[in-house]
Amino acid sequence: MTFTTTMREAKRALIANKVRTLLMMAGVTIGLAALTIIVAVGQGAKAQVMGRVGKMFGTNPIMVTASAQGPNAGRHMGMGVGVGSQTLTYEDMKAIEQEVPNVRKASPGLIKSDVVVKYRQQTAITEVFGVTPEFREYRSWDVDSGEFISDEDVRGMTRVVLLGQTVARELFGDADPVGQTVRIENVAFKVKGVLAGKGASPHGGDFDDRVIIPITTFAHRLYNVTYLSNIVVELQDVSRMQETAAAITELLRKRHHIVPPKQDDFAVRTGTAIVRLVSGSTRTLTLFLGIVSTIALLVGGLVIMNIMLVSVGERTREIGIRRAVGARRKDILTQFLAEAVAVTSAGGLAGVLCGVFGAVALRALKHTPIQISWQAVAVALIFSIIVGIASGVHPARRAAHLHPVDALRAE
Amino acid sequence: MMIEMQDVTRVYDMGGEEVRAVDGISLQVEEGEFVAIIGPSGSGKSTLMNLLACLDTPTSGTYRLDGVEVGKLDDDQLSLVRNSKVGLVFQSYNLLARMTALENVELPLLYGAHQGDAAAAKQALESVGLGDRLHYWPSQLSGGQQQRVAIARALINDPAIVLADEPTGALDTRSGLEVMDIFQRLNREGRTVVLVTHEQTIAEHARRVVSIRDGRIVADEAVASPRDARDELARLPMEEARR
Repeated sequence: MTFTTTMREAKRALIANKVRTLLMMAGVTIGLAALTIIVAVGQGAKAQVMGRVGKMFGTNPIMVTASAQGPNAGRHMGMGVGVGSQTLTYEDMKAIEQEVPNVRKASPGLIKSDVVVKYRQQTAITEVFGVTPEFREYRSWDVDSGEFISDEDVRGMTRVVLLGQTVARELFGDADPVGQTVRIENVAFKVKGVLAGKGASPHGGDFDDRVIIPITTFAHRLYNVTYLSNIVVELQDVSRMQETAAAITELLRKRHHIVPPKQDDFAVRTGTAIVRLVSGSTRTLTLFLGIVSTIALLVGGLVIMNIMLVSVGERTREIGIRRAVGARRKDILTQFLAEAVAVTSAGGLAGVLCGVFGAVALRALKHTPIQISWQAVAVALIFSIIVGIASGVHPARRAAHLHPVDALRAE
Repeated sequence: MMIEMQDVTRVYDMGGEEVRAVDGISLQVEEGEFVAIIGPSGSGKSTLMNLLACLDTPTSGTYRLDGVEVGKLDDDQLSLVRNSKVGLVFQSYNLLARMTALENVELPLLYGAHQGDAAAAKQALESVGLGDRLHYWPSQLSGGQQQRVAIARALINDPAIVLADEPTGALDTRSGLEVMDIFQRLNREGRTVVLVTHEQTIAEHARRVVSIRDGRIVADEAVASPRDARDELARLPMEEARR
């Protein structure tokens, strides 16, 4: 039998007993609707978390920081000039860039805490970041007004500064700081711009309480340091982040002559480490609900198997007639399998549609973040076909192995 | 030789007890013959019918149908023989209720080696006088009409033999004679027809009658002057005709 005729026969049999067909479909439909909603909500939550994390830490995946081993190690976890180890260098950065595979670019950063910034009579104590233009993208620093630090600023060691929202408010109130001159550690800097607000950090800190200046100005004009606070590493292939992070760790240990049990004087952090932490709870929920809907699908499959066994019993004579006019066992097997698969894929399709509808309704009514991916839909449909084959194969085999004479004798 | 059975037996195991439903039958049927197999119930004629139709295979002995040794075939090959060489007609019509007359006739085409065309199915229905009932459901047809649909289905793949198992058993006199008329016409056109029945009058429409008892052939004789179903139809009383 050709595929078309097989499907036509299946359709005929399914339409002939609508109630039974709907009952068979129901289990799969409910299971897949639940599964679709769960995946959509789960992925939506994950995307939201990722978005937040991206806003805080930038989208860049790997950050190498000098670790807090110095005598002044404190609340900034070694992220500051004069408090942490001073072993992370430009040479390390160049080595990472040149020797570690999958690294597109590495950029240097310097940080110092508790720096006094003054504008006329106003004083603010804040963090100073020495950065390159790349940091804007890495850390998702948007500029509210004015401009970000440029390559020329870095090359020329210009004394320009961008103020975080908190600092700008403390020094200028409601006035526009752009173009004004502030003093950092008594060195005059021209305000080039104001950063967009980012809000509170997960640890209760303030992301807006900072100022940023060109890294060269930081290193040579302000503090005269030769080491780095951090290195931001941009990857070619983000999916290979973990192995790249491991390679960086290995390289730096070699360069810093660190052999266990000696502790690392640096830390390599990846974006996913943070994401994993935050999305852990969502994952547990998704797993639990996923198990529940998988059970629903299994029960749906069992219902289909049961109904199909009854159906084979009732249609014994039909099977006999088909065998008598030349149907092979294979043809009977295919016919019943096709019916099972047709039921589950129709049920699955209906389930996915209901699920998508349900997820969209959730978003509209409860503002739940959702994300519907075609991969998830495809997996759901393939899954429903598998359920069809799994639940149909036993009844279909039973039908195919009836003896034609016995089958024809049935009532 | 169309049918060549040599010492065929079919033994069933009924809870440890051997039942020899067919017990050493040898039978030859030439191409173009019209043979009736007659016997009381329990004589083994249904079992013989199943063997002839390739629905079942002999326990021992050989059966050649149109030159093919049936006992040596596997299930798939038997299915193909049923599809292409045998046209089966049953007492209870055995039409699929969810298919129209035309679709029922087309059913064997689904399983055929060659792709048959719908025009042939239509033609087959026209040849049994049902050209105006193509899209009727079996439930909308009388018993006689249903049996004629079954005959059309049996003919669709142009089989070597037409096998009919009590084809008039469920029909009234007129419908039964109409069916017998079709078989006689098919035979006149050269087709080999084998009919199984327990009714002497039906058997007398054939040109040769084989009698069976206890799984063995007890008589095998030519019919001197077979009944002519068309004459009998013409002679039926008018009130009978109107039914």
